[in-house]
Amino acid sequence: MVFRGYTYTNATDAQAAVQQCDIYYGIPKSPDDVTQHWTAYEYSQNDNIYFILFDESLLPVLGEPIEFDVNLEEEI
Amino acid sequence: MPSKIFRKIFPGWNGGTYIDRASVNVPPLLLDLYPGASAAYSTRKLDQNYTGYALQVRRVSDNATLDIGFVNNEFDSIAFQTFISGTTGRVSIWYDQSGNGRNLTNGTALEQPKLTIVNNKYALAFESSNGTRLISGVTNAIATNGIYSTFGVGLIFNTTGNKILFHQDQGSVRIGQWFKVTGASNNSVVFSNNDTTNANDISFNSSPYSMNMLSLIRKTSSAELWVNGFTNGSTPASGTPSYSAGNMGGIYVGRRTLGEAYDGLSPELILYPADMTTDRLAIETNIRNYYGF
Repeated sequence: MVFRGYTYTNATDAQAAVQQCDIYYGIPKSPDDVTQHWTAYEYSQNDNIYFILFDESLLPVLGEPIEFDVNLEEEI
Repeated sequence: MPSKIFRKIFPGWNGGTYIDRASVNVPPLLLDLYPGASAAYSTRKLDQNYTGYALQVRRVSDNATLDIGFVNNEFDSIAFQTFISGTTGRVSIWYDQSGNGRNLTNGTALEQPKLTIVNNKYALAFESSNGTRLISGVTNAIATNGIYSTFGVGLIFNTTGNKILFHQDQGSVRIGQWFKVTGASNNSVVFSNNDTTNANDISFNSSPYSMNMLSLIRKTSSAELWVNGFTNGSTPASGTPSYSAGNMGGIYVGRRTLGEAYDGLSPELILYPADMTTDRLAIETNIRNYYGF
């Protein structure tokens, strides 16, 4: 499955990217808010890759996205 | 969505102003008449005795939030429109009206569904591109004897790939699923998967932008699917339910994994931990009359 977004080779870098976005957008607005992060990262076990899906709001923080292919299909 | 598509699907829409129809959501409300739901989510009030809110909305422009309730048993649209004031609102909490506290939430801003209007009713918009979803961390909405009934409304934008609107699982075992769309055949499949090895499917044809009311009743030895009030077949529910109260997962609405993200709208989902065959038609009539299809 092809996605647009940002890829990382380890969880630490992905967490840092999420934190950058939180700081930029002032999330959480208060400690008790339901909304604790602006974006989230995912991990594809099949591809051993961490990634954040693209949203226009991420452009000023994370820059231009790339396209990447990950295998997220699950057998049901 | 282009207005011509809405006109085709919803003839009552005249291009900008919906034609009002008489409200059918007058007391006694749906859960007053048919109590016992283990989880109930809607943009309308479902229980006269429910004193909580419908939704918590986050205003995207400044991340402020507001709990929004009901006026005359309808979603308080004035409070919502005043709050977002022409901007965008996303749903951070979809409150459970059953009294069981199984509120659906998402702590990630971009994964929260937007709130939109369809057929003159507010609905949550789940977008596969952002992987929007809501999750209840409170478990055991489905009875541990494996019997349950689900009622709800969904409108699919995109029928390519797996699209799961609702599901609950125990670890890797999916207990109930709606709108698992396979391939490009517009062939929607509802799962009733109640054990560790057997997946039971009932198929029905769905087209993009079509609104459907689905009722899935999982009985002791079979599962039945009803679409828009008509039977859509049944399947033997083979296997003995193996899950237990101790390790059943929460409710997922919108997706479980990114590869299964739903792409569409839903204004209402109601789950009973029981076989509601006796009341099915009455519940469906209430839902269909309210949503006007």
